[in-house]
Amino acid sequence: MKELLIYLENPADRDELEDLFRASSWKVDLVDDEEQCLQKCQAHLYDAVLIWRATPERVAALCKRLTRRQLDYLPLIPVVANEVLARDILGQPVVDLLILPMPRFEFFHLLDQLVAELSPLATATEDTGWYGRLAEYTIVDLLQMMERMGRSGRIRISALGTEAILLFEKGTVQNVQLGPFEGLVALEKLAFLEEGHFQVKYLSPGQTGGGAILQKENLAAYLKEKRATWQAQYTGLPEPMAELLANPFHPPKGASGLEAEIYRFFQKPAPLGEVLLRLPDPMDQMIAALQRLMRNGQLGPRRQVEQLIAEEEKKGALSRVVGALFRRKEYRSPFQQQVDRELRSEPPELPKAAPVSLDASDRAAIQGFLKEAENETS
Amino acid sequence: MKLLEYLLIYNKPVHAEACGQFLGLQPLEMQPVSARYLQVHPRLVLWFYELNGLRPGTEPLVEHLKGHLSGILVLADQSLVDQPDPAMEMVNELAVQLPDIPYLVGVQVDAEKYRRLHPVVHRSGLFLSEQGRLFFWTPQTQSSIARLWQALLLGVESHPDHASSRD
Repeated sequence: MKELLIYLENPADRDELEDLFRASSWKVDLVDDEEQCLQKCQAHLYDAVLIWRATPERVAALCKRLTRRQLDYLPLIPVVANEVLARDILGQPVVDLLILPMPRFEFFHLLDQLVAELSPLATATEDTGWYGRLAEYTIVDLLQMMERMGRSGRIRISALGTEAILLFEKGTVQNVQLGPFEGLVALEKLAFLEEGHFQVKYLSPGQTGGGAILQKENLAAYLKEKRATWQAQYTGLPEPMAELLANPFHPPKGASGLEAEIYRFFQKPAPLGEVLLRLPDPMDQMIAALQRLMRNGQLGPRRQVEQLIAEEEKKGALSRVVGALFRRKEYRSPFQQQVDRELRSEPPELPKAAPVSLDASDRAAIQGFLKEAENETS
Repeated sequence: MKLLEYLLIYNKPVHAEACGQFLGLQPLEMQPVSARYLQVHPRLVLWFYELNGLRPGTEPLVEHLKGHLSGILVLADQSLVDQPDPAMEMVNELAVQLPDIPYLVGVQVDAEKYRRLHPVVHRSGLFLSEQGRLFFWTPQTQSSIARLWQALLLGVESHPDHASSRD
């Protein structure tokens, strides 16, 4: 018998759920407290965890806590009341979600199907959906397939730490969601992707919900053309998976806002492709800005920049001070500039370097000694 | 008798010789670390533990000494600018590990470069950190070595103009 943990957002649903699962083949534990839910997850190995009438905020919070406790391997299936919520929730690391209301038999059929698909022995079938890598099928390919087959369904994309959802109704794109971006903006970003995975889930017409939002003639042809342009423009840049890091010694000065934004983005190492998915600017402008930043050495492959930083650190403070006095260098790092300013400014309060335990007679004796030594040597 | 302990770090023994000779320091072979000393008068002895760069095994010694050191002197030359140097690493580490102990870095330069420096830099050195100062010295100018020892043993001379402006 398969075991299920159900986390209720509203304790008033308890009776309804007990009634629903009474005659089922599932062994069910019900909890209505998040902490209790986590404890149960730690104590038992459930086949799946349902969040009943889930809100996006609650799902996000639970996912975060499960991850923190290293319980993120547990398959999470939110059950929600409408498709608007569904779109927000699918950005979280959940297996899938079930949308209410639906007939009882269909609910159990879908639940069984989802859990069966989670089994390592399960194979994806044409009837329910399929999985793949974007390196094999790009978004444009998937879009054309759905269009040609006239299928309804949902495509989930996981790439470069980002999740995206595409909804199709009878072969037509209804909506696209990529983080905060929607519609054509989101689709253009996804069209350039060749990294990551996709999961196609076929649904019955009408199950995806929501009206047609994305209205664009010859969408696939449009995206194909754009993709070719961006690819040509991208030539010379590292692979999208390559990690980049901003060069701290060479920040962009007088650069466009976008270049400064990209430079800020890479203050921490991140894959190059991630910036294309996360910033709202048009693709062509972002690629052009990346080209400029790389060419000017303001951005570089992570290893190269880290090596540069390590070399600078080795030189240390002393070399910079001495260098400031005896050398003329074309480029001065922010630290060196600070040292320059320090040297130009009034000397700070000098420390009393003499040991506290030295009294007046000791000082006089040392002073006498030094004078004597200087006279002798000169 | 009063014993004041100092740490003398250098990357070339010739620097320690040049500066030690000026003061007439007496060498003393000890294990695991050599030392030099100076008896100023019967009640006052200055004791200098010597470290030739940051050698493996010297960290425990620094750790042991840091409670009763009166000051640290690092002697180096301009080669520090061009390549990483054990003494320079030590300077960085000391600034972090021993923030309350006064330390001086004496960089040996040639006589011509020393002459080009402003007298204020000769006298008061350069600010390195709250307790750290950078001095320049040259074997050709004995007063430059005298200033180094004076700063270490008696404290840094303030510039008369700055001293008066702060009063």
